[in-house]
Amino acid sequence: MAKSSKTDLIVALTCTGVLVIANAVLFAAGKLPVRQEGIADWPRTLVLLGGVVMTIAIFSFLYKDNPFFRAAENLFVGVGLGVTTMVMWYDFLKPDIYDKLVAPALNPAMQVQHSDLVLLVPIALGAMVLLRISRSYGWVSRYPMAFLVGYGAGFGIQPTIHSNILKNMQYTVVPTPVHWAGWAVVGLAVVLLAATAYFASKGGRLALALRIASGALALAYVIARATRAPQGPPVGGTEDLAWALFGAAAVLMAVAGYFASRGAKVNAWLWSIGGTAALIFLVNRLASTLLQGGTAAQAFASMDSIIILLGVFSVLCYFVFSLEHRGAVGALSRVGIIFLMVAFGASFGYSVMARESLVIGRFQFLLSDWLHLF
Amino acid sequence: MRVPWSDPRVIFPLVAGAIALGLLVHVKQPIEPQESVVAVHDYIQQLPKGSAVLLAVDFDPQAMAELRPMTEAIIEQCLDQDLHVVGMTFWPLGAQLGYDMFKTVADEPRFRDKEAGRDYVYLGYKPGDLSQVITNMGENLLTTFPQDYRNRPTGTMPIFRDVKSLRNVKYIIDLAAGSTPDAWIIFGGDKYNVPMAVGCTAISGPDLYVRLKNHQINGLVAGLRGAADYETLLQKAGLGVGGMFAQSLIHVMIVLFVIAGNVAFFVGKRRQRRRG
Repeated sequence: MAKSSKTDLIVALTCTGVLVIANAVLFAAGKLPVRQEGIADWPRTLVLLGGVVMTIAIFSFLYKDNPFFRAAENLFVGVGLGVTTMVMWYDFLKPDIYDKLVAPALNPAMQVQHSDLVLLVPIALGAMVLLRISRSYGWVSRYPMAFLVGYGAGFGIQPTIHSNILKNMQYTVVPTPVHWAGWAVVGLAVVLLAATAYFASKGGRLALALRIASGALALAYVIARATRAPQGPPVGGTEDLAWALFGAAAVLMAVAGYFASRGAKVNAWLWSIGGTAALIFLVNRLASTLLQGGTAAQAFASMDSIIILLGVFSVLCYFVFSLEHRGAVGALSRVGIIFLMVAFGASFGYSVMARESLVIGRFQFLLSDWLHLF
Repeated sequence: MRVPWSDPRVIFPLVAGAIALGLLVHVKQPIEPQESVVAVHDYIQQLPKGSAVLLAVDFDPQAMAELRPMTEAIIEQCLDQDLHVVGMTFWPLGAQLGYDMFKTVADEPRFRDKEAGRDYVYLGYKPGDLSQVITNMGENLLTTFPQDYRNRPTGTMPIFRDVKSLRNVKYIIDLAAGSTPDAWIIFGGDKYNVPMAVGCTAISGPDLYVRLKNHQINGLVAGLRGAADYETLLQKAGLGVGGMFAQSLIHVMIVLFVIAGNVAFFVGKRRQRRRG
């Protein structure tokens, strides 16, 4: 026997031995079997011990891939599929199809309700999808699929555009009262970010200093936000005009993007007009918020809106590939990269936290439900 | 330069030890609930007695560690406030789990006067495209769910006397491990103008902060930390609060690992440069 196989066998036997001894101690101490109002509940005891064995078998993968882990993994998939099938039958197929159409057909004492006959349409469509496995009649499945896609698109497009696009756009440019101190910090942040993005590629001490300064500013912002400055009420403005300008800017930029790919001269003109419209829109927003004023505490809280606006524009700029990323566009797209990295970092941090929670959940099960240690 | 203890066989037991220590040693950590969690708690608190709250329990046992504590805390608060709680799920493997959670809370001695079908109901699993099922619920809850999870007819239940559709529901809370919040927001909250909140796994949290910022949801309870916040607001020491010290210990450990890894990297680089 190879040395590694010997070690594996020893590890497996040790784990099994520890598991058996732990359960024996628990039985001897009266912690097992699980008791319900003083009476031994054997089915629950089996479920508990099954859970313990499966948890340890899955954790055994941390040592190396092994038959216990693979058995637990396959059992998990199998049990999941089995439960899903059962739930589908009892919660859906039996009450909605079998009891309404099949049972009356088999039992002359029962009658099919006329209103239930409409169920034959979805059943037929479902059966047509299954014909996809046939080489000769596979084409039939295209009809229900076409129905599904057409229905889904017609049903979902309007509310999806409203909730996913329009609402996002609306709150990307929502104005809030900003204190002069807030504006000063925003200005400083923009200058720092742009300078960092510009000098980062050149390297040297200045780039390092700028990185440290923008990092310190970001940290100051996070600390300021943690103080929970109250949000000010939304400020009104010349809404219709502003939105018309914003829409015009978006359309013109989109058209410019299209012509840019064709190398047409009209592109430059469209960019200029679109950019001017966007600028007027932005000035309108900023002026309306400045005139309303705000408290010092709101200054930091209201910076969220500006940071979101800057983030959206810079990230969009990064993904515009019809323009060469040089000069102002290059600097802005580098700022966009910073925003993307922050977003990815936040997502990664949350992912790690989610995995930690799962491990904690399993340990709570092992230490509390099984071993009764707390 | 390779750090000698960077082997997984060292790191994994260290993490396991930290978790076990965090769970076994009861250190009371100060927990300050986040704004987004307080918003959910406060909104439920101000709902008039008898208002209907819909809880969509859209997760399965895999996400139980994160979502079960917050789901039970929310059911508990709703029953405490004499609200009517309607539960359902879009996850087949979550059907029984949802029932268990409702039963666990309702079986507590202080809720002895609460009755299934009158104060709370668990409708179980409904298959199909989410957008269509939610729209059906928006038109008629009783035809969408003619029976509850225990096959009792919903038409005769007192809880549905004034709640015929989603339009009559005062608050929707989706406790989700997947993408169901999007469908609930688009086809439920936004379409029928019902205030909404989401309880989710930490992994989905960043995506949902956008919805919070857009006022499409008025609160967000994310991950085990969110559950701990909620339990703190209810002054209850449940599994969420219990897991916080262990989570903090792992965070400290990860930070130390990152610092040590970086120090090793720079020291190694310096040595390499010296060697030429």
